[in-house]
Formats: sequence, structure tokens, C-alpha cells
Amino acid sequence: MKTTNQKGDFKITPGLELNTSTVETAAAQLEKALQKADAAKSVEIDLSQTSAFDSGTVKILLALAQECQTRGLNLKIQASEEAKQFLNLFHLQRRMSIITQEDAE
Amino acid sequence: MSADQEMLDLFVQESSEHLQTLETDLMALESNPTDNALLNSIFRSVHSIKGGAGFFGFDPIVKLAHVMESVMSLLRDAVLKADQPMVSLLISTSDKLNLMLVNPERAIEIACEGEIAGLKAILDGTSSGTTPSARKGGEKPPAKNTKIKSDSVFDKELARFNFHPDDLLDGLKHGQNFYIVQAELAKEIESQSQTLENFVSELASLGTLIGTEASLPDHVTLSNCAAADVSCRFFFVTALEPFILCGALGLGDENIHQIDSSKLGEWVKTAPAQNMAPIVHEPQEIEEKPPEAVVSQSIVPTSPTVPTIATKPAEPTATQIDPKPVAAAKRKPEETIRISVGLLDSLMNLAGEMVLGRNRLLRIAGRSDTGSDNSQMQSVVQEISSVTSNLQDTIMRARLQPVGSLFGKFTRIVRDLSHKLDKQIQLEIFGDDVELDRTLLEGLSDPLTHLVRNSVDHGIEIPANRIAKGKTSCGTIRLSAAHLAGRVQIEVLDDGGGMDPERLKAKAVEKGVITTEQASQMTDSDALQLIFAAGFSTAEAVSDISGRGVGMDVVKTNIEKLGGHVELESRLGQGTRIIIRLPLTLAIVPALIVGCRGTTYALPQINVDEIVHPGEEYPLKSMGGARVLELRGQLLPVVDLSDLLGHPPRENTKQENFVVVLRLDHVSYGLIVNEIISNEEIVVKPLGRHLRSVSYYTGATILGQGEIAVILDPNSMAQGRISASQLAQNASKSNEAALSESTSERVLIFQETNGEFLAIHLKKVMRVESVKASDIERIGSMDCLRKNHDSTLRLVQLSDLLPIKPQTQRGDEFFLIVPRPPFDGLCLVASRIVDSADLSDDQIDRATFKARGLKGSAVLSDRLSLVLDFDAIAEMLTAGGDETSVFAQGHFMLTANSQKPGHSQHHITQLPNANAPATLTN
Repeated sequence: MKTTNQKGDFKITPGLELNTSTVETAAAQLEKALQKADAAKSVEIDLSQTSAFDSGTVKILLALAQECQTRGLNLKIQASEEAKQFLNLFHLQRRMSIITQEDAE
Repeated sequence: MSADQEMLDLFVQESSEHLQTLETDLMALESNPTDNALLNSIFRSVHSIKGGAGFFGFDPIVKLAHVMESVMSLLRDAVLKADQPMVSLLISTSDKLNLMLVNPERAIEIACEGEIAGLKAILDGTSSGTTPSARKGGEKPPAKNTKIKSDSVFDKELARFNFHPDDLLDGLKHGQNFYIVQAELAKEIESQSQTLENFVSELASLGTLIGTEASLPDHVTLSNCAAADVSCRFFFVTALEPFILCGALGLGDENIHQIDSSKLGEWVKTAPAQNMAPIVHEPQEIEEKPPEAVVSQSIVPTSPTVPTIATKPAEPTATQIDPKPVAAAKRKPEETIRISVGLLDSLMNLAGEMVLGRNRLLRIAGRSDTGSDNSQMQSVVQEISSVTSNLQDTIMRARLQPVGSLFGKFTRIVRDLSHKLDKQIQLEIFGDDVELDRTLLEGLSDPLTHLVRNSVDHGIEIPANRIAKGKTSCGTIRLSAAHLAGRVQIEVLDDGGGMDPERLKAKAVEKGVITTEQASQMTDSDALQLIFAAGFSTAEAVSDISGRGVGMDVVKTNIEKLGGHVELESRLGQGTRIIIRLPLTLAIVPALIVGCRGTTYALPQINVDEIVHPGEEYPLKSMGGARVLELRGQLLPVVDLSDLLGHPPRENTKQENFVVVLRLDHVSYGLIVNEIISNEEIVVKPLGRHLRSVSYYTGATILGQGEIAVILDPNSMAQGRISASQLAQNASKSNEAALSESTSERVLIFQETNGEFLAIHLKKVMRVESVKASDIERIGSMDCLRKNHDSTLRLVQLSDLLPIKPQTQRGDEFFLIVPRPPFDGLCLVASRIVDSADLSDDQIDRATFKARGLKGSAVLSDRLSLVLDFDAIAEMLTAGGDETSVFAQGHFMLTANSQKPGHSQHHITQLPNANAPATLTN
């Protein structure tokens, strides 16, 4: 899992898929990574490496959102269009900002 | 019929089905008052009836169903526990609903004030039957879920979703249903092998998704989220009823919570628009409990109302039948369709007409004078023949219904009667998935009802008497159905007091049914048959249940009219067993076609035992004014069909006669006819009204030639012609049983070629035919007899199986020996029928000639004959793996008769006797 801190934006590139098959590993790595994010204002997760979305994806992101809320951090998700559509099924956009590359441009 | 009338008819039909289920469930509830599945099933049934009645505006039905539903709701929520008075009240309410549904528009005329008052008293907690149960952990009983607790809770629930109040207007305007669908993503959606996208897509296709909210329990963090599951709630509006929604989504009723539309409407008027604000975590209890505040009516899935042909496994089920709970899993697409009985009957008639037309076409195609080469046409005709038979079979199957639909009503009958008589009786039902033609099922209803009522009234003793006899206080009546040898066998068995043969004889003498002398000679088995005599009853008093003495004779007659017969076994002190045997269908029956004074008649093959040519070996005699046939040491009473039907005396006294030996239950008699024409499967047609009064006729059919043949009733022909004493003389075991028990058995001697003489036991033979070589078709490596129908008769050369002289060339005419079922799809080829003879087991020399398929050899009628072991031959034919060993399965069929009766050159040959020529006479 790769992390960078740029002007208050703590970026996390998981390096693995975030779904049911990797929940335990991903959650542990994310938790560890967040420990370095105390000085940041927002946490951005790169979901581009996740191609298969399921309840595990939702679970990890909700837990992450909860963690961020506890730490007072804003959560952003960098996602593909497909990922955004999936996350919007569960109205996760109310809990986190979901940004696609098109949105960024 | 207008669309409204159709819908109304459908509502009545479906409600009737619900009420049947309701009755069964209520019976079971008496024994299992806390069975949740039962309580849910009852609730669903009442709820469905109420909903349908409400749609049509039948307020009296809605009112009664509503109060019943309310009581069921309390029972289901364990606020109340059902006791016997409460169940009786619910059953009574169910009966009133039944009456109302006879004519829903006049439902107001059905008095049900007592039921409503009783149920309301239960609801008010003033009835003695109310028993508030202790809930688990001392929880308070849940509040009645009929109204929303407070608007603040309502607001709180809806605040979880992001939507504008205007989003609800369309659904409110159209009277649609609002739900909160709650599910755990992994456990309840993904576990059903569907993706989340598909689930949401499915949901969206069923209605309008207004809002969605996904959350984890409060205590879940990144470190412990692996074991948790995401709970998702969908605010959803649709026209679908809750049970349909459950089924469509594959969720249980606990996942779907309906919102009171009226309250929602009020809320819309006053509530502000929801913001896109971040969710505030809800307290844990809201996540776990169903939102009682918003649920205004219970959500219960109901089973599909489209009837299916039930196929319950033939397992014993007691009266307290456990209803199967509605499956929470996704339902398969509808596999059945409702169809009117009239349409099925029409299809059946048309299929029958098609069969007759096909028969005629086959005859025409088979005629040698139709053209030099009609093989192509014959091929097409054979295809048509095959399709026609398949169509006929399929339609006949469509008419079949499970006997369970009939057996089910006896649960209530036994319950009510046992209560009335202060008896304890358990009804067991077996084989309720056995299927019968619906006409037979309808005809069986009254006789079976009478038999069951008799068992309750006369059979099962009161508890005190049972205990005194060392029995359990609760008696058992067992209703069972099974397929047996191509027929359906239905049994009514009880462990009651049984019948006393001596008492039966005494009553019969008292009523003048038999004389004292006859009674003294009568066996116990014969004495039991006396209950079938008209006017016979041993009941001390006439009750509204039984005892008028018009029951069992009518039962027997009705069953015989269905083509069945009834037997009775009883042991004093132990119980009684009544066996009813019925054909699978009345529409198509195998028949023996006979001729009498130039007129053709059909006899049900099931009653035909054998055909005898009277002569020196089987002489016809007169005894005391009655005619009898001496048949293998027994005197068989005979009836002349021409006398019976009032044909004028014949001028040609030299015309040959045949005696068809007919078997009815345990009795046999002979019917004298002039001709034996053929065996055919006939399509039974009802008689015209001008012939229905003739008791000897049961129907009519159209033969292949196009002529009409009346179907004779062996039972009716025997009655009045053959005295009771004559029948009593013949009342014994069946011929087959007699044959098997006798030391000497009859064998048929024949030759396949001009070589060895072969002998086959007559009990293995169904009949012998003479055929022409031109009637035989070669199919692959098999010779088969060309038939009217698609089934074929495969020819078997015994020289292919046995070490006997092979047949080099078949003659123009030869014989076919057709075995009894199940091997009646093949036939043994014989060039000559020689004789018949008696053969005892010790006459067989098993040492000299040994081969599989042979029992040995014996000297019969001064000839050395090889005695066939037909069972081994059949085994050889069915066990082989090559093409030649696969024999054609099918029904017995005869060569098409291309000539009119009276010119029969071939077809049925009766079992020969020593004096008759080897071939049939014309």
C-alpha cells in the first residue's frame, strides 16, 4: 500500500483490490496507513485497481468513512466511472466524495 | 364473459383454494397451537381473501376476514395462544367465509354476528379462550401494529433517505405501496448468487427506488469489519403486494416493511424536503428491530395462488398436517397454468375423434387394393398415428388430478364426526399424490365419504371401549392410494371393532336377504359381502351419519359404474379394510369386440378371463332351468347375450357359439356370443339419452370400420340373470389363484416350425391371434405386427433363443401367442396351434432337455413337447444388449381388421380345445 501526503491531502493507493476477497488485508493496511494521516485534512483512496465490486467494497469504504469521521478527515474516493456507478447504488456519495478522472479534468 | 366477471370468477376460485388450505391448517392448529408456519399460513390465507374481497368491494367478507385476520395476528405474534374453543370459532368463521363466497354479492345475507362477536371478544381480551402467553425474557407484548406511534419516529425513519417529498406524490396518487426493503448485502443478497448491481436493478424494475441507505453497525471499525455485513435499506414504492415483492426479490417477509400510505400522505403535506446531509448514525436498536412505528400492517408473503398439480410424496401424513412454509428463496417462473375443465373435456373429445379417424385411415392405407405402391402414404399414416396417440396420451394426462384433493376434505369430516360422537380418531393419509382422471375422482367422492363416515360411526369404538379392549383410546383411520398393476387402489383401513360375520348372517336372514340354510353354508368371507346387499344395515338406530341401509350397496354400484370394484376384509375386534380398485381413466379402455346376431358389442377386457369354444371338452349343460358350462371341473353359470338383449330366436341353430368367461370380483360367469371379432382399445363415448335406461349398456364406441358398437356392462348383465346362490357357488378365489394353487395346470401346445412341439402355460398367455404374413412389417432387424396405434407387437422366433429347429420360411398365415402384461408388447410366432392339455409339475422331465428358457419336456397328448419357461425367455429378451433383444414396449394391439364382422378370416382365436380345428372358424 502506497501513501503520499500532498498539501494536506493524504493519498492512499491500496495496491490491491478492495472487495470481499481482500477485506481483512485491505482493512488492516488502510488502518495502518491512516495512522500517518493525522496531519492531513482529507484522505483520498485510489480505487482504480479495483475491478470487481461487491459488498466487501462497500464495507471497506463505509468502515473507512467511519474511521475518517472519527479522525475528522474528509474522505474522497478516486474511482472509475464504473466504480462510481456502483458506489452510487448505495448512495455512498453522502458519506464520501466520489471523483472520477473526468470530474478531475 | 366480461373481463370483470372473469376476474370475479378468478377471485372466487382462488379464495376457495385459500379456504381449503385454511381449513386444513386450522385442523392442524388444534394439535399444534404454537406452530409458526401454520399460524403464518392461516394469516396469509385470510389476508389474501380479505385483500381480494376489498378489491371488489365485498364489505361483509372484508369485515369478517379482517376480524379473523386480527385474531390471527395476535396468535402469530404469540400474544394469544390458540385453544380448542378459539380454533372452533375460527373454523366456524372459515365456514361462514365459504358460504359468503358462494355468492359474494349477496354475502350480507350470511349471518355471522356470532363469529364476529366471538372474535371481537377475543380481541378485547374478554373471551375465556384468550391466554396471553409469556413472552421471552419478560418483554412487553408488541403494540398493535395498526397505527404509527409518533410522527417524530416517522420523520426519523424517512430522514435516513435522501429524497424530496414530491418524489412520493406519484406513488400516493396511484395508490401504490411504499416499503422499506432491508437486507444484509452479503448474507441475504450475495449469498443467493446474485450481484448487488443485479439486485438493485431488479428492485428498480419492480417499482421506483426513492432512496437508499447503507450502513455498518456502530461498533464496526476497520480493524473488525471483516466479520461484519453491510445493512442496506431501500425506500421503495411499487404496485406489488408484499408477498409478490418478497418472492421477486428472494427475501423473507422480515426484510420488507410496508409504510402506511395514508400516514405517508399526511407526512408529505407537512414535512420539509430532505437535504443531502451526511447521515447521522442511528442508534443500534433501529438497525436491529423492525421499525414498528412505520409498519402499519404486517407483511406476510403468501403462496402463489395459481394452482398446480400437487405432487406430494407418498408419505404418511396425519390429520395434523404440517403446512409447508412459503420459501423465502426466489420462486421459479410459473410452471402451471389454469385451464377450464370444459376445455380439457373438449380436447379429450377431439383427441378421441382423431383416434377414430386415424384408425380408419390406417385401415384404408393398409388395404392392398388401394394402389400398387402406397408405402410412402403408409409411412405418413404411421407418423400421424404416432402423433395422434401421443396427443391422446398427453391430454389424458392433463385430466389427471391427485387424489389428495379428495382426501383432504376427510380431515374435517373425521374431526367433526369424532367430536359429535365423542370419539378420538386420527386420520392418516398416504399416497395423496396418486393421480386419477377427474371424472373418476368426482365419482369417487360420495362412495368414499360414505366409507369414511361408516368407519367413524360403526368402526372406531368410543375411547372407554377401546381401552377396555386393550387398545389406545385414539382410533386410527388410514386413507391410502397407490398404483397397482395399471389400476389405482384406494384403501380405507380402520383399527376399530371390525365386523361380526355371525351377526351379519343373522341380520341378513332377518331381512330376508338370504335363507337360514344359505346362512349356515356361508363362509365368513361371504358373510362380509352381505353388507353390499340393498337395504342391509346392522345399525341399531338410524342416525344422520349412517344406518339407513342404503349406503354400501350404492357405494358398490357407484364404484362399479366407474369401472372399478370394491372388496372388504374385516376381523372382529381388530378392524376393517375396504379396498377400491379403479381404472386410471374411463376415456380409453381395452375391449374385446364380439358379435351377436350380426350386431357388434364391446366387452371391457379387464373383465374377460378367457374365451371358450363349447363342445365336448367344455360342454354346455342345463341344470335346474339354468345353463352352465363345465369348465375344468367347475360349473360356470352362463348367460346368452342374444336372450339377454331380446334378439329373436335364431333360425340357424347350427351357428357356432363362443363363451366369454367374465370375471367380476370373486365371481365368474360365461357370456354366450356368436363371434369373437377382435381386441381393440376403444374410445368410450356416452350413450344417447334413449339408451341410457338400458342397464346392460355403459357406453358406446366407434370401431375402426366406422360402425358403432355398444359397450356392455358385465355386472349388470349378471344381475338378475345369475342367482345369488349360483354366484355364491362361484364366489371363490380368482382363476389365476386357482390355477396357481392347483397341482395340474393347463398348457398350450404349438409348433413354431414343422419341428418340435412346444408347450407354454396358459396362465402366461393373454391370447392367440392368427395373422397374415402381409400384416408383418420389418423395422430394423425386428419383425413387428402393423397396428392401429403407434405401439407395435414384436415377433419373437423362439428358434432364435432356444435350441430348436429354426424357421426357414414363414407361411402366408401363422399364429401369434401374446403373453400377459407386462410382456404383451411381444408375441411368440407359431406355425400351428396343436392342442391344449393339463400338465402337472411332476410330469416334466427336467433332465433330458436342459436349456435356458426351457423347463424340460413332457409327453402331452401323445407327443413329446418341450415345456417353455416363459419367465426365463422374457428375461433373455429384456436382458440382452443387442438390437434384437430390445423388445418393443407398448400396449397390446391387433391387426387392423379390414373386413366387416361376419367375414373375419383372422383375429382372435380362443384358447383351443382338442376338438376344435387349429384355426378360428369364420
